[in-house]
This record gives sequence, C-alpha cells and structure tokens, in this order.
Amino acid sequence: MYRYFLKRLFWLIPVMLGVSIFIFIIMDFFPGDAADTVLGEAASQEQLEEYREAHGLNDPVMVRYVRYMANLLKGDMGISYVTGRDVFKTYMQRLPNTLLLAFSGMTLAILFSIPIGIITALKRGTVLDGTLMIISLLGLSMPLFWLGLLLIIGFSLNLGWFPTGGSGDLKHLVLPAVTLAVAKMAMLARTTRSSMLEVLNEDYIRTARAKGVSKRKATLKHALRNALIPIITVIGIELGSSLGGSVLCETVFSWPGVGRLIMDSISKRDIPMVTGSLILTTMLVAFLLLVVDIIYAFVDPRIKAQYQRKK
Amino acid sequence: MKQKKTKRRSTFSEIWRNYRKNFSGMLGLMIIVGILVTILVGNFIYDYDTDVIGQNISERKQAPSSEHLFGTDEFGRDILTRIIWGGRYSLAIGLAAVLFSSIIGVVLGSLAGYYGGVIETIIMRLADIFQAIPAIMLGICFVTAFGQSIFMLTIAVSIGAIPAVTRVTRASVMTVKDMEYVEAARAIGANNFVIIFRHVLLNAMSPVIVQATLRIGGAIVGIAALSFIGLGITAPTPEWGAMLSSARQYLRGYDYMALYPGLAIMVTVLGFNLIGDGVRDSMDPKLKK
Repeated sequence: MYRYFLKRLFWLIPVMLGVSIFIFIIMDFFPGDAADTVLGEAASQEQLEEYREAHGLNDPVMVRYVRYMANLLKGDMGISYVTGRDVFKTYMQRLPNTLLLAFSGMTLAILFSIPIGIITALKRGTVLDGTLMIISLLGLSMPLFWLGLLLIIGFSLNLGWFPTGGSGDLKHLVLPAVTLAVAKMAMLARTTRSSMLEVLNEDYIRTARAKGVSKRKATLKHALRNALIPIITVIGIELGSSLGGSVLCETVFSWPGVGRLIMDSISKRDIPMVTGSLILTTMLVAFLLLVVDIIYAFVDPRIKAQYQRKK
Repeated sequence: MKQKKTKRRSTFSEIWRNYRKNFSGMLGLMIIVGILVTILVGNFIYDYDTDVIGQNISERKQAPSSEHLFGTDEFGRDILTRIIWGGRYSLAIGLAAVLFSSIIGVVLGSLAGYYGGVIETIIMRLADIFQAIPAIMLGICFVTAFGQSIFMLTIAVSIGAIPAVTRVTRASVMTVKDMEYVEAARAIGANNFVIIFRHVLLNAMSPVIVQATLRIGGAIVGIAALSFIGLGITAPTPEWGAMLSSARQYLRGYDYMALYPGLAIMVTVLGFNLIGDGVRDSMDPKLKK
C-alpha cells in the first residue's frame, strides 16, 4: 500500500511540471509585461526595451521557463513587480487566512449536513425529507457570491451583527464562513442522503438489526461507516475547490486570502506573483486530494485490501 | 448494462416517457421554457439602446413600484428589463460552454478509451494536469490572457470541465468497446472512425449526456462569477453577474438592486438542476431512488 502512495506522490512531480509549463505559457499571453508594470506609462520606448533586455524578458518563453524553474528549485520564486517583496513569503502570509476560511466553512458544512443527510435518508418520503431536500436544492442553485451579498444586506447592514468585510476577530469570519458552508452543505447533505439510502438496504444492516443491534447503533455505526466513502470524496473535492475557488468569497467579503492576492496581482499584471501563487495553490489542492485518497484506505478495509493485492 | 439500441428513436421516446413521469424534472423543464419564452418576448418589446442601456437619470435608484417592478438602477434603467435582456447571455454562454466542453471531452475521451496505449497515456496525463489547476483560476487566467470576447468567455467557462468529461467518456467507452456488436462491426470491416462514432459512442453516451445536463447550471454560475469579478461581460451590457457586481456599491440603502439579478441566476440554475436530475433518473432507472 505504501508503494502505491509513494507512486501517487511521485506522480505529482510530472503533473506539477506540466502545470507550471501551462501557467508559464498562458502568462506569456498576458497583456503588458514587467517593463510596463515596473516603469509605468511614462516610460519611453527605449527605456522599456532597455529594461526588457536587462531582465531577459526578450528571451523565448522556454528559456525564461527554464530559468524560472532553476530558481524555483533553489527555493526562489522571484519578487513581485508591484511591491518588490518575495513572492513565496507574500503567499505564505496570505495562506493562513484562506485555510482558516476554508476549514471553518467546511467544518460548519459537515456539522450540519451529515445529520441532515442521515435524517432525510431515515425519513425518506416524509414531508421533512421533502422540505430539507428542496432547501438543499435551492442552496445548490444559489450562486455563492449572491448569497454573500444577501448575508451582508441582512446581517451587517440591517441587523448590524457582523462587519461587512475585512478580517480581524471572530466576527469577521462568521459571514464568509457561512457563505462558503451553505453551498457545500447542500452538496454534502445530498451525497450523505443518497449514500445512506444505498447502504440502509444492504443485507448486513438487516442482519445487524435481526441480531438485536439497536436502530440507532445500526444506523450510526454499521450504516454510516459504510456510507462514508462517497461522503469523504465530496468533502475532499469541496475542500479543494474552496481553496482554489476562494476568489469569490474573498472578493465579496474583502477577505485577505490567496484568492484576493491572485486577483489583485492579475489586475496589476504582477506576473511573478500570479505565477507563483497559482503554482503553490495547485500544489496545495493536488496534495490535499492525495491525502483524501490515503484516508479512504483507513476508512474502508476493502480498499486497503485492493491496494495490497495490486501491490 | 447498456440497453441495446436497435432503433434510436425508440430509445429517446422511452427516455421521454420516463422523464414525463418525473415531477421535478417536468417542473425544471417548465421553468426553463418559461425563461426562454420571456427572453424571446422581451426581445420584441424592449429596444436595446433605449430600454436596456439607455440612461434615464431622473428615475435613478427608485425602489420597486408598480411602474418599475424590480426598481431602477443607478442610471435609472428598469432592472426587470435588464434582467430579461441579460438572460440571453447567461443561457447562450452556459449552453455553448457545456456543448464545447462536451465535444472536446468526448473526442479526447473516446480516443483514449478506444485506442489505449500511448494515446491514452498522453490524453489522460494532460487531463491530470488540467484538472489540477482550480477551474475558476483557469478561467480567470484564460480571459486575462486572451480577452473578454463572448467566444473566449465561453471557452474560459468550459475549459475546466473538459478533463471530467474526458474521464467519464473514456470509462464509458472502455465498458462498451469490447461488446460483441463492436467486434462484429470490426469483423465486417468497418473502419475505426465508423466504429467509434456509430457503434461505441452512441452506446456509451448516456453517462456523458447526464453529466452534461447536470453541468449547465454550473456553467451559468461560472459566467456570472467571471462577470461579478469584472472579467466577464462588462457594463453597460446587462449580464446578471455584472449587474450584481455594480449593485455591490449600492448595498446600503438600495439593496433591491442586488436582489433580483441573483434571484434570476438561482431560478435558472435551479431549473437546469431539476432537468439534470430528471434526465439522470430517466436515462438510468437504476439510479432512481
């Protein structure tokens, strides 16, 4: 099994190389370059050309890529054109905010959606099931940024309970985390419900009930454990998407995370910052999905056995 | 596991027969048809230059009333009119994006699934790479690099979905390609192109169609999201996400401006999600709960 995970881990290397090549090529198409950004609009054509020559910007894209990767291996992701600060350090300063937001949103979603999923599966076909499923379908259809605006209108502007944006104490975290949680919640509740429904009809649940296991225990222990695989998959994917897709939530609430960093850098054509941030974010998400894969094996002995057989 | 199709028409009428019995699926269909009719009618009763983008400063920022059901925006333009006009962008780009990602994904996926070997390795490794980059980042970079034309926006919204389509198609093609009727086609000397498109793909399509229908809602949110962060369709064109973006500045005191464009997105996406669920249930009765 370990060999399998090592293989997966090593596979990340060519994927990341491919990702970095792709990002580098697309950056090459960005309008404007370092010379325009650093020297500003007042610079003359000769000055721009001089700068490009001095910093190797006129070299072909592949030459620049190799140079960039050589520096990257030495741990140098370059410095921002705009602030002049180290790209890696700037990213790492913003990352805790994004992680905090993503994990608190996900925790909220898990806390509410898994019980909802279990209850609706048990009470299938009742009014309660129908109502909760309609609500979750609405949650799923609601654009995240609109929900954020609605929460701002309701809870900050009208009720004044929470600030409209920014970061600082716990109060700043509530609205963005709830916004992020709602969409994930809908997805997770639906997955939990259908996964539980599948498992509840299995023979082993009937066996457990027949030999006298209480309904509560049969549901929570026997059924939930077996229904967990698709749920964990969705949690992993959603966590990955809230790290990578944090731009929207961070934009609505002016949350100083990496999504905002990337957006700001794109609008300022700060190419080293964009390139570095994209590579780091992609790496983070890829690593996260790998961790999810490892968790499977711990949750489901069947998967572990499969890996062992495959070697 | 796939139903054998002797007559294509009968399969589709069978799916439709199943679908008609699906209450939420029909509700979704009604929502979408209603939206399409509204957009079509709006096309004839409103004039783009005067009603949709024409400014009317004397009537600016009016709360909803009987004259302006959804109120007016910061330039005195009727919000309802703009929402109805804006629907065309969301629907057209959303549908075109799903079509685009489906076509590219199906071609790549069936090549990978049918031929295997080096072709499969190359295609699937590329899919790995593209899937690793968060979809919205991919879209944002794409639009920044290649401009905000409607064509580029469509590609930007769809590009993130291509790896997933490729995967689904490949898996489905792999289950079908060793069926006896494919072997029979090969035995009578049909060429690979005919085999892939006639015999393999037609029988491997249902998971792809189901997935595509379920993705339309996501594509519509995608285009609205790009416009919301200022990288999609820009003012004065009344795209729903762009309308929300400009309403952000007036949340204090004029919150109705941010209400209705979002509601329009939600109802449209809900309609497509209901259709998607209905199509899934009627194409694969096994999945029906």
